[in-house]
Amino acid sequence: MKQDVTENLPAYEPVKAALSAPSGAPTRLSDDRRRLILNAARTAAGQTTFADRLARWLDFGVQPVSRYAVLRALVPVAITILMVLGVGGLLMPALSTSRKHAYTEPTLQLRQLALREEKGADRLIAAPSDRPDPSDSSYFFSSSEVAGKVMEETLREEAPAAAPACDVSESSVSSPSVPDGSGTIVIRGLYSNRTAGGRKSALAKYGGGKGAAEGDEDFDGRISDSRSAPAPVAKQKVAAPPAGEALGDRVEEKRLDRDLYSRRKQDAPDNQRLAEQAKVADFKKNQPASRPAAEKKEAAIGGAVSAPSSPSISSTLSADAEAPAKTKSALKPEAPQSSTFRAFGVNPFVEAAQQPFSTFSIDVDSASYTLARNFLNQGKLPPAEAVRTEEIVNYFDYHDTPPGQGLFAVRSEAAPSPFGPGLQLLRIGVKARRLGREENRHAVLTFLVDTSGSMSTPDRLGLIQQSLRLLVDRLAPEDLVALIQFDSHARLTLDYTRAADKARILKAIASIQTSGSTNLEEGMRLAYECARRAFQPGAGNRVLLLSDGAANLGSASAEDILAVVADSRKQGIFCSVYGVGQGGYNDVMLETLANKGDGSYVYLDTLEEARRVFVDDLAATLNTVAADVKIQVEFNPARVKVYRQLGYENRKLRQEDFRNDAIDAGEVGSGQAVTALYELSLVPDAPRGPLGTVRVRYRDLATGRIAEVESPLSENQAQPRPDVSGASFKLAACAAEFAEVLRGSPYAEDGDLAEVAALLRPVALEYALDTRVQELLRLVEKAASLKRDGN
Amino acid sequence: MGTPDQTRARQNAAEAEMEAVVATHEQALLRYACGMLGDPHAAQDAVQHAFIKLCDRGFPLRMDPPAIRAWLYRATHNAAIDYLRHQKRHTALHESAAREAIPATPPDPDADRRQLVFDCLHQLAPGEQQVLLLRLQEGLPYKTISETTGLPSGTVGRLLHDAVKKLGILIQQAGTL
Repeated sequence: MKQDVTENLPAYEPVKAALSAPSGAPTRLSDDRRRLILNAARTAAGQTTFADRLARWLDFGVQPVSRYAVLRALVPVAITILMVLGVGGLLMPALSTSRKHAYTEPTLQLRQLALREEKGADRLIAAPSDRPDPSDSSYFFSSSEVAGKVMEETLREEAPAAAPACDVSESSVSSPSVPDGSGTIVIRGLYSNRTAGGRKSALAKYGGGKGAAEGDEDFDGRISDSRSAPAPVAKQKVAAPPAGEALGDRVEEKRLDRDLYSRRKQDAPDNQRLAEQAKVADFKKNQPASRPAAEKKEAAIGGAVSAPSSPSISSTLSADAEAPAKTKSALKPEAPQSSTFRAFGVNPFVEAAQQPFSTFSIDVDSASYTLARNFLNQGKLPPAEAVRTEEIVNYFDYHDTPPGQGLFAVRSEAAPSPFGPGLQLLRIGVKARRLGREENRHAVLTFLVDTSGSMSTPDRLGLIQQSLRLLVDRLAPEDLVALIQFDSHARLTLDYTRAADKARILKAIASIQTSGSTNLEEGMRLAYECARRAFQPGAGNRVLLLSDGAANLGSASAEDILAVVADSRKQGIFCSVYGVGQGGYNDVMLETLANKGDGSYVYLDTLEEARRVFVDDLAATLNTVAADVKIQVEFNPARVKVYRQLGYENRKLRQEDFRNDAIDAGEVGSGQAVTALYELSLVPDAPRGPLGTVRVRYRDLATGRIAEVESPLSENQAQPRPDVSGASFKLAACAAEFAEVLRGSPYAEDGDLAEVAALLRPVALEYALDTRVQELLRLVEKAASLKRDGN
Repeated sequence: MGTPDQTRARQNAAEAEMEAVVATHEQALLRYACGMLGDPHAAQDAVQHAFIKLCDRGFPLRMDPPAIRAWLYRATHNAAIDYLRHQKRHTALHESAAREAIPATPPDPDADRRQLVFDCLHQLAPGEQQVLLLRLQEGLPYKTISETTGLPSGTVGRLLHDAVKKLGILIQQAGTL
C-alpha cells in the first residue's frame, strides 16, 4: 500500500528518471583495483589455518584483517567446549536416575503412603488417584461429613460381603471425600454379579414364565430411576438415613456416584490429580478417624449388604445409557499405572416372540484376543472387562467360502451347543470378497505415533518402530506415507513421501524419540489435517494411530477427540488404531476411537502379531471394501423360543437403525470374515421351517452404493449332533466359551476351561497348520490352570 | 592446511570466484556508490573496499547470489558513509567555492536536471538516500533492500515514501529558486 502511495507521489517519476538515467558513473573498476581485490581473495584463500588468522590478527601478517575472522575461528571451539561441559553436567544426573523412574516416583511415594495406611486400617486404603475434584459442586454437596460417614459404613459393609463372590475382577472405587473429613475409601472386590445358578438357571429364569423383555424393562426402569437426578441423590445422603434403612438404595446411590465420579475423573488433568492425591494421602495419615464405632455398625448390617451382588442391582452400575442390558461393571477408575477397560455387560436371553430382531454393527477387531493373550502369557488372567467375546471369536479363520459374486457371502450353521446342554449354537459367518491385486487401491497413510514418556519401553515404541518397518517394506512404491509424532505437542516428522523412497521413511521412523505427556487430541487434529490436505479420492486414505491410549493432555475423551476431526472423517479418512503396552493401557479410549472413527482396532503384543497385521493381512488392513456394515438376524418365533447373542454388546443397534444409513457402523476389509454366534432354545416339536433370516446391509466403497444381502437360516443347516458338526463350528464354540468364561459371563458360570480344552484338542489336530488354533489351545490350557490355582 | 598444491588450487578457485562476483556486481555497485558520493573516484574506492571485505569472509563464499548482492550493497554503503564522514570537514569548506569556480561546462538541460536531483538527494539522511538509490536507481525489490539495510520491508516502504516526498519538496524549492 505504501508502495502504491509512494509511486503516486508527484516527485516519484522525475526522480526515478533522473536516478536511473545513464550517469557519469564508471561501469568498471579500474584494473589496478581489480588486481588488488583478486590478490586479497588469494591471500584470504591461502590463509585458512587458525595460526594464519591469528598472525594476521596480531598484525604479524602483511595486511590488517578483520578481527571477526579470528573470533569466528574461536567461536566454534568455545561452543564445543561449553557443550561438552554443559551436556556432561546435564546428563550425569539424568543417567543416574532413568527417565521412567523419575516419571513414576511421585506415584510410588503415594502408593507407599497408601500401603502404610492399609496396614493400619485393614480393608480401607487410600486411593490417591481417585480423589474427586472438590470444585465440583455435586461432589462438594454429597461429601458433607455426615454423608461421608454413612458412605464409609456402607462401603465397609460391602467389601467383605462381596469379596468371596468375586473371583473375576476387582474394581476400586472411592467415595467422594470430605474436604475436611473422612478421606478416600476404596472397596475391593465389589465387582461381581454372577447369577447363582449359571446358565441353566438363567435359562429357566428368562425362558420360563417371565419373559426376557420384561427383564429388560425392569432393567431400564432402574436405569432411568437412578439416573434421573444425581443432585437429589446427593441431598438424600446429606439427610443421613439411619444405618439400617434402605441399604440397597444407598448402594445404588454410591455406585451412581462412582460412575459420575469416574467420568469426571477422566476430565481431571493428571498433575492436578497427583497434587490432590498427595493432599489426600497426607491428610489420611494425620487423621485416623473414628473407626471403631463404624466397625460396630458394620457388624450390625453385615448380612443385608450381600444383596448387591445380585444381577438386578449391579445392572444399575451402568449409567451409560448406550450399554445394553445386564451390565456387570461400570467404569473402572484408572490409577496412574493401571489400565482402563470397560465392560459392556453380557447380552441376555431374549424371547423371539417379543423381539425377533437382533441387529448389530459388524466388528472385525481382534484387539481383545491379543490383549488377553498378553495377560495370559505373563501368567495373569486378563481383567474381565478386557474380554470382548466377538473379538476373540473373530480372531480365527473359519474357512468360510468367499462370495462367488457380490461383496459378501453369508453362511450359517446351527448345532447343539457343546457347552450349553439343551441349547443350539448358531454360527453366522459373513465373509467379504478378497480384492484382486489390481483392485487394491493405493494407500495414503498417515502414521500417528505416540511418543510420550509412557511409550519409552521396548514393548511400546520399540515394537511400533519394528511394526512400521514391516509395513513400509510391504507398501507399493506409489503409496504415500507421512509420519506425525505427538507427545505434549504434535509435529509432522515426515511429510508425505512415496514409499519408493524407503530409506527416508525408515530414517524418520528410526529417529522417533520419546518425551513429555500425551496430547492425543492435538495429534489427532494434526493427523487429520494432514490427511485431509493429502486426500486422494479413490485411494485408501487412512490415519494409523499407534499408542497406549494414556492421553493426559488436551481432551481425554474419545468422543471429544472425534468431534474435533469429525469433518475430515466424513470425507472418507479411515482410522486404524494399534494399541501397545500393558500398564497404563487405555482400552476404552482406543476401542472407542476405532469404533466411532471408521476403523479397526488391533492390539500389538508381539512382533509376530505385527507381522500378521502388517504383512499377512495387509490387504485387509489397508483396503476397506465396505463401510457401515450392519447385520440383522430375524428369528422365526415358530421355531426359536429364546436366543442370546454372544458378544457384540457395545455394537448393538436398534432394530429400526438397520435401514437408517446415517447410523455409523463397522468397516470390513478385503477378504475379512466376521462371525456372530447365538445360543438358541428351540420350540420343542415345532413343524419344520427356517430358523430365521440374516440380512447384511453395507455401503460398497467401490461404488458408494448401499446394498443388502439376505440369507435364510434354513432347517437343514442345523446339524443334529455336536460330534458330527464341523471343525470350524467347534472352533467357534470353543473360542466363544473361552471368552465367556474369561469375562465371567453369568451364562458361563458352570463353564469349565478344561472341557473347552478337551473339545479343542481334536480341532487343533484338524487345523494342524493354523498356528492360531494351536495357540488358542495353549492359552485355554494356561487359563484353566491359572483359574484352578486362583481358586 | 594441506600441501602447497592444494593451497594453490584453493587460491585459484577463490580468485575465479571473486572475479565472477566482481564482474557481476561492479557496475551496479559503482553506479550506486557514485549516486551516494557524486564522485567516480571515491565510488571506486568504496566498491573496492566492499569487495576486499567480502574476501575477508573466506572462501568458498557460503552465500547464495541474492545474499551476496545484498551484502555488497551494504558494504558499499558503509564504505561510502565512512568516506563521507572522513571528507566532510574538507568538502564542507570548499564545496561552494569550487562549484562557482568551475563553470558548468556543457549547457545540457538533462545533465543540469540530474545534477539538481543528486544535489537535493545528498541533503537527505544517509538512510533515506540509501533506500531511494537502491529502489529507484538500482530497481531492487523490497526484500533485497530490507536485507541490505537490515530494516523490515514495511519500514523500507515508509522510508522510501518519506524520502521521495522530501526530495520532491527540495527539488521544487531548488527549481523555484
